[in-house]
Amino acid sequence: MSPPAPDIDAATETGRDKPVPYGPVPCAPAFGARGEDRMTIDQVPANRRLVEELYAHGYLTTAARQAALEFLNPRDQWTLWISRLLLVVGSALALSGVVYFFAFNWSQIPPIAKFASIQIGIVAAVGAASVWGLTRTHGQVLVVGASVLVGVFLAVFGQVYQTGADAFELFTAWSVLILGWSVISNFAPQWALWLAVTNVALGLWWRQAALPTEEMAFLIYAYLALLNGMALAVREWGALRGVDWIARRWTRVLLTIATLLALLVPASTLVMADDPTTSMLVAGIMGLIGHVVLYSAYRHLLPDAWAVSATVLSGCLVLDAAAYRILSSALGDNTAATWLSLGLATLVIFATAMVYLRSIAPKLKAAHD
Amino acid sequence: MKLDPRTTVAIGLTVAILVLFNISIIDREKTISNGKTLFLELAPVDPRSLMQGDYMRLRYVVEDSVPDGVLKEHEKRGYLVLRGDSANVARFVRVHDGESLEQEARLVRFHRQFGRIRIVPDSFFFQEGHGELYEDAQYGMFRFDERGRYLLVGLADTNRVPIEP
Repeated sequence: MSPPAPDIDAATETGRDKPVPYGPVPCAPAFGARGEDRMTIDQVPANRRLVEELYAHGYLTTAARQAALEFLNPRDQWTLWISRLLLVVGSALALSGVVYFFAFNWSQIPPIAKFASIQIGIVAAVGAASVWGLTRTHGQVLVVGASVLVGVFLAVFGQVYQTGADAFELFTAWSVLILGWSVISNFAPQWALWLAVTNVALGLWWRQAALPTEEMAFLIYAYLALLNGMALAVREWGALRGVDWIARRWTRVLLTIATLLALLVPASTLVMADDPTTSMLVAGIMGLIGHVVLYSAYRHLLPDAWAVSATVLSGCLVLDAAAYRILSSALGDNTAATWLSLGLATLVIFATAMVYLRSIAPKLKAAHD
Repeated sequence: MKLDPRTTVAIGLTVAILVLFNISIIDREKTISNGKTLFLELAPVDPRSLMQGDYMRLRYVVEDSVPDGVLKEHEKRGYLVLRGDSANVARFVRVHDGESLEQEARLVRFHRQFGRIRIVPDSFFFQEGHGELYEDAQYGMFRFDERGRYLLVGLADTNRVPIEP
């Protein structure tokens, strides 16, 4: 979204020559306004190029140009950006420093000191977050730090007291313990951490505790797709209701990728399987339906060119798997012919998808704006 | 200072987490100080997985005492009944089937993968670079509390003397 057009009338009051006429009239000749396709001033995008061209043609003084540029790109914007960047990099480095400190001095530190220092870290992080306030980024980042320290504590605990507990127990405990902080954090990175931990816990639980039979093994993808798909649905619902911390663009990107991966693996396995197991059928069909749901959601309900492209490309991979299956059964032992025709099929599938995506992109963009 | 409700909840959760942590620590420390020791003889693992960094894969001799065919195909987790001999070295008694235990019998958990029984914990963590110290380890030292919960507290040499870094 671009900021409102600068008030050119005001800017040219101090100008050297003729003021720009206002209203539905041709703009400065530099815009190439020709006869019939005239633009009104409110259709002209306000950007650096416009300002520079007005200045180049003598419609703006140096001071007015400066004021307009300052208005378009406030000076403090990059300092804000760099401050955020440094905050994130600094927190990440400080946390990894903590991890390396423990790793390097492992046997020199008595267990009680290990536990005490991690707990002091947690108290300090939450304490500082309370002082700063949980509504501010600093406070929220500190809670993420405390959540990471809970994981560090559990890892250290598992190493000091070796009970033979499965790794899924550690991740499940981690997920449960930081859930409360996540609920009150109103901070997307905190939820991203929680979701990552929970995904790992679910995957490990499946392998280490659920111990599925071969018939049921693929059901984990259905669970993972449900978990991440539900998170994506909550994200979209929150965004529609105007919850801005959840409406950040990267949350949709991250959750779409996570959901698509959990849909893509079983869907492509199903289309290639000769004798699919029950769980392959369930998770695979869910994967295929999931692609359709995501596509229609981001094509029509919440138009988003990026999400549609991601879904279509994932769908292309499923189609490619289907193409492999068809070609290899049709051409049998002739592997050279199979792979050559698969290469051609791949080109056709992806090229068609590209042409299609390019054709719908302008509509999606317009709807998104 | 007046705290907003969210901050109050955050602090409450933190207190709960820390209480939970410290109860678990005290619990495990009790097992270590009051528990009874049982030595599980280590089987040589070739090659020992020192390349994996700061831990060692363990295999125990008693794992091989489990007769074939006792376990059904789907039994991937379970307990072995062990009993210490005069030197507190564990001997295999039977696979546990839910029955109540006689005096001095201990339960250890196992996983089964590709038909192989693995008693857990089947790895021992130490600081990177301390691998050489543990190369001559002969026994895994387990400590059992009165409720039957156990911990692997360290490795011991042929004389059942704990190896300290």
